[in-house]
Order: sequence, then C-alpha cells, then structure tokens
Amino acid sequence: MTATRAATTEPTALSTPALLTSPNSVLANALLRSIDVLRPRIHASRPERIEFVVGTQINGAPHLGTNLVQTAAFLLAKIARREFSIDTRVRFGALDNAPHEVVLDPETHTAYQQTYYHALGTDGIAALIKRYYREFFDSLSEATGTDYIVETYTAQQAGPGFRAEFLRSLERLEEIRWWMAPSHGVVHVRLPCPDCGWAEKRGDRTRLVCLDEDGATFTAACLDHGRYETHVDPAAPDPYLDLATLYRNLVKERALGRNTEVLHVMMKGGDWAFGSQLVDGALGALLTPPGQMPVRIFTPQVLAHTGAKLSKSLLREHGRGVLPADVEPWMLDTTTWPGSTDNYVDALAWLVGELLGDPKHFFRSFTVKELGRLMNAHPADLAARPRAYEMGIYKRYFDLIATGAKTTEIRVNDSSRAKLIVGSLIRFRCRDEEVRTRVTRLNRYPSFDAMFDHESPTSVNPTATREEQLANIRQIYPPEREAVGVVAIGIELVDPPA
Amino acid sequence: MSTTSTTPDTGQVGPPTGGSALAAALAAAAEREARRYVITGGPSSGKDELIEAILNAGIPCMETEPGREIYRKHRERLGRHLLREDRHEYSLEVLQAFISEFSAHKSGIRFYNRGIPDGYGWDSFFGLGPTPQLEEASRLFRYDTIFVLDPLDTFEDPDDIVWAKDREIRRVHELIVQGYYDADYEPVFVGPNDAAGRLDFICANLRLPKPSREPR
Repeated sequence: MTATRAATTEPTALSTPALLTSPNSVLANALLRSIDVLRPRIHASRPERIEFVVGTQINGAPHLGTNLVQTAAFLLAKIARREFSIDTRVRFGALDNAPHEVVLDPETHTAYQQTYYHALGTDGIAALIKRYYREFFDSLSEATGTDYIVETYTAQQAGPGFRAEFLRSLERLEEIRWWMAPSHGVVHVRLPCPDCGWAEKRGDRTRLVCLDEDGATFTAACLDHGRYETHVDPAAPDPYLDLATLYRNLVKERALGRNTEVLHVMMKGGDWAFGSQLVDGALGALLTPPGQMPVRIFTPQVLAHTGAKLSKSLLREHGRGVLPADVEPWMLDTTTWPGSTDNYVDALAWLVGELLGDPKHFFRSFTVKELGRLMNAHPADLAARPRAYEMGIYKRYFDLIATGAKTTEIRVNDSSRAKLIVGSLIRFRCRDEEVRTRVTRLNRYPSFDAMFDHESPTSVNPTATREEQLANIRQIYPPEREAVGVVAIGIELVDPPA
Repeated sequence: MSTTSTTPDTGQVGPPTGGSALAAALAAAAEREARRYVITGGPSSGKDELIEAILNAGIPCMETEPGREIYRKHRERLGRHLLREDRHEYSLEVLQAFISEFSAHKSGIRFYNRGIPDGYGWDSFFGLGPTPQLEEASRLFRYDTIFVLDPLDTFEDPDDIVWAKDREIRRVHELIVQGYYDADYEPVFVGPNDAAGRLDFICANLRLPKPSREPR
C-alpha cells in the first residue's frame, strides 16, 4: 500500500490555515468550493463542453497578474472536468488589436492608431504569442491535462458570428450607447483605412451612415488618405472591426452566449468586476435571454501595497517606489523567472491551487508582496516532483489501485486523455490520499461494451462482474459522455507495495 | 460614433420656417444685432458632432473650420504635412478666413466652428508666439460667448498605457483654453455629454429654447 497523504490542493476549508488567512465574503460564504460558482449554469444548460475564455493583450511581457488569470483558467478547467464530468478546454484570446503605435493627424491633431496586427502581420503576431505564452501554456496544459486553443482578436472579429452580433447591436445603438459610454454616450468604433490600416483612435469622425439587412455602412477619415466609406457585411471578413474594450466584450459575450452546446466561462481579472456592470446593462438593453448571459469568474487582483492594481504603467509613471523593495523582477516580467518554465508553472499552479482550495482565498485580492511570499512557500520538493496527470476516483476503486489489484482504468476518451502516452504518470486522488501509477498501455474503443469485449473485467475490478461494472460505470458517465469514446488505460504502481 | 442615417440634411441650414419655439426665437433674433458664439475645444472633444447637431437644429452655424481647407491647400502645394516653419504663413491665412467670416455676419445668431483666439493655442503648441495680426484681430473682433467642450476621453488606454501623443492632445486643449483667457474671454465649459445634451446646455445658457424639446 503506497497511498500517501497528499500535500493537499483539495477544496477543504481547513486545508492551509498556516499558509493563508482570508476573511469571509458574500460570495465565498455561499460556496463550499470555488468551482460551485459555475454549478447553477451547468445545471441549467447542461453543456457538452465548457471553455474557459481568457483574453490577454499581447503588447508586452506578462506580469504575475496576467499569468495568475491564465493559470486559474487551466486549473478550473481541470477541476470542472472532474466535478461535472464534462469535457473542458481553455480558449486563449490574444488581443492583437492593442495599439502598436499612435500618431496625431498633423492637420487636426486627432489621434490615429495602428494595431499590433496591422503593424506586425499574422506571422509577427504568431511570433509574439510564441515568445510570451506558447511555452507557458504548453507547460500549463501538460500540468493540468487540459487542452487549449489560441484565437487572435483578428480571427475572432472576422467571423460571421461576431459580425452578425455587432450589426444586431447597431440596431439598438440608442439603447446601449450610454452603457458603453456612460459619460457622454459616444461609442468608439474603429474601422481602419483600407489603404493603410490606420484608424481614428477615438472614432471622432467615424459615422454610421446606413444600416439595413445588407449590413452597415460607415464613413471615416484617414490622416493620409482623407475620407473613406466602408461597409460591414455579416458574411464578409473585411473590413477590420476594431471595437473599444467594453463594446468588444459586449459583442464577444453575446456571440459566445448563442452557442448552447458549449458554455463559455469568461475569466477576468478582479478589476473587471466593476466594468462588467456596464456590459451587463448593455446585454439587458439588447434583451439577452437569461440562458445566454455570460458566465464570468473574476480572479484575484494583484495589488501594490497602496491598493493600486499592479500595472507596468503604474511603475513607469511613479517608479518602483510604489512597490515594496522586495518585489522581485519576475513579478513584473514573468519571463525573467529564475528557473525553467515548468518550474514556474508548477509553483504558480500550486499557488493558484491553494487559492482555489477555499473560495475565501480565491475570491479576494492580494498584494504582490503577499503573493511573492506564498509563491516561495511552496513545498520544498515541488521541483523534484515528476509531472503527472491527475484523476479523481471513488474510494473503492482507489483502494484497488493502491493495492495493485486494479490494473486497468476506464475513462471516456475526452480531450484530457489525448496526450496520454505509454509511460505517462497518473496520480489518482481520493480526498487527501493519492497514489502514483505509470501507463503501461492504451486502448481506445467506441463504447464500454466494446471495451469489455477486449479487456479483462477482472483487471478493471476483480470484485465485480462485467454486467455489474457496466451498470456502475454508466452511473458515472451518461450516454452523451460515452459517445465520445472510451479509453482503457493499463496502469502499474510506481511504488509497488513491499 | 454617431448615426447620420436619420438626419440626412447636414448642409448649411438657415432658420426653419416651421412654428417651433426655437425657430421663432431665431427668427426674432435675426432682426436684432449680430450675436456670435464660438464652439471650440481640443481634439476628441466631440466638436464635429456638436456642430452637426447645431446645423440639424436649424441654427445658423459655420459648418467646417476654415483651417482645414487652408491646411489641405498648403499641404498640396508643399507635397507634405506642414512643419513648424510653415505655420506662420498658414496661421495668417486662417486668421484672414476667420475675420472674413466674422465680418460677413451682420445680424442674428451664428455659431462659429472655432474662433480667432484659437490661433493663440495652435501657435503656442508649435512653439510660436502670437503674431501682431492675431493680437489686433483678437482685440477688434469680439465674440459674445465662448463655449469650450471638455474632452470626451481620458486619453489613457484601458490597460493603463498613456501614449505620448495623447498627452499632446491634452496640451493642445489646454493651450486653446489658455488662448481665450489671454484674449480676455471667460469661456463657458461644456461638460461631457452627447451632442444633443450639449446643445441643450448651450441653448439654456443663451436663453434659447432647447432643441430636444422641440416637436419632431
């Protein structure tokens, strides 16, 4: 018997009293586990897949706050998959419409901007994503057994769903404009000049001149090419549609909300909680049905000791004096972490796991100094721990694995199993116990019946017949989950009993 | 962004002939001495939209800044954007256009898309002192009220980036405001709002009926 008491990341309220103390809050008080914040919507919509959507400006090296949101997305995807028996993945939105350069029109002094996409092109954007995020995401994906996709804003805005939603919003522009711009009601839309790609930064001279069933026609002005007219057709990927932050989120959330098969969970930094009130007002003005309202999870804000959000511009404006002297460089530029990417991801995943372990710890803010302290409090042997896939399991099966009696594990063949190979390590967990195994073989089948035609029932569970096992396993996996296929995983104990 | 699909007529407009309170007030004013009101402000202050709203309300107004046409003419001649050394000649020509506009108006209410003292701000932005011609014109040609539009933007990006160029926009705005003080005006500041709300504010200030309350 080699089951060990795990250094817990399980959601038990008393798991880490010495590490962290957090006061209660209204949200935390309503939840036993952080993941429960999604449960009402899961019950209501019964999605086939959950996607955790995390968008990031790609205009510079990420700081700790950025990576914290992303890590939370991967970990929640892992927990949700286990908790709800629904396939999950992470959708990373690379916001390549961030301004790359701003100039003033010498004639009017109106500001014009060029997006990262227009300045760098598709290959340049891909290189930026690779430089700042690819290795980090690959490592997170492996550590959490969670698949991910990357989608640029440029690709998103070119899609028919996004464009149709934008055009629908124009039909109710009068109702939404005060939500999108509460101080003056003037909504910014940027439609870059077709000749040079530069656009009025604040849409000062952009006018909607016609809106009908064929789309919307705008006029705008370019600093070099004068006035131009451009037409947004729902079926055409051009012209480029660069929306200001709130409007972009409104259109994105409306478009994603229409997909009834996939539940999109918007992962946002805690400071977005305030801005989302405006998006919600606009969603209401657009008569968005309750079942299509966005689900959002706000992650802990990372703050300077003054309470200001950690931001590079804060530092640029006021110097490092706004941060305690012991804030380490990697917190502001995580690519300078003094170790490997895997090492960084393991430490960060451990930290976010600890936060997620109690809603009181997760739904709150942290100073950057406190997060630094927590990061350094990770278990001493963390770096030495081999990467392993994690699987939760019922106690009766856990005990069979721990004694070496169960040598085949059965799972549905969802995205989290795609990267399993012979030799992979799997850590089975049951409450605060865990046991490590190594994959000895992998066989995929269309159904549990087909699987038992080829696999020995006694290797799966020596205490039950094939029929009993089929009945039990179908209690766990409903037909729609079985429909994605089945994988039989041969396992052996890494540390067999003496 | 504004919609213009429901307001197709944005050309030069005189007082409407309908029986609205505003039209009546404008018609009555037309018989009296000239009243000149300036709309000004820095870039991204919503000036173009307000001018459009003034015209759509049937209030006499200068549609485009004379400076824009003159700038394009100079640019075509030079084959490039204007540099500091080109500003002097350009400024004098713009000033002349403003004086002509001012002088051509003989009676009634008229709004102006920027005014003569805007020249102080723009010259100052380019590091130039005011010309004697500007000083004299500012003394001779006096507007009745100056409305300065507050900017519609904080000039900061949501992710905290503040572009150096955006700082220049703030500076242009501040220099324009200072120019009017230097010319001995007390501007009325028009807070951020949509064009209709701003026009109502301006009309209320001038004791004119509010266009938004006019029958449609």
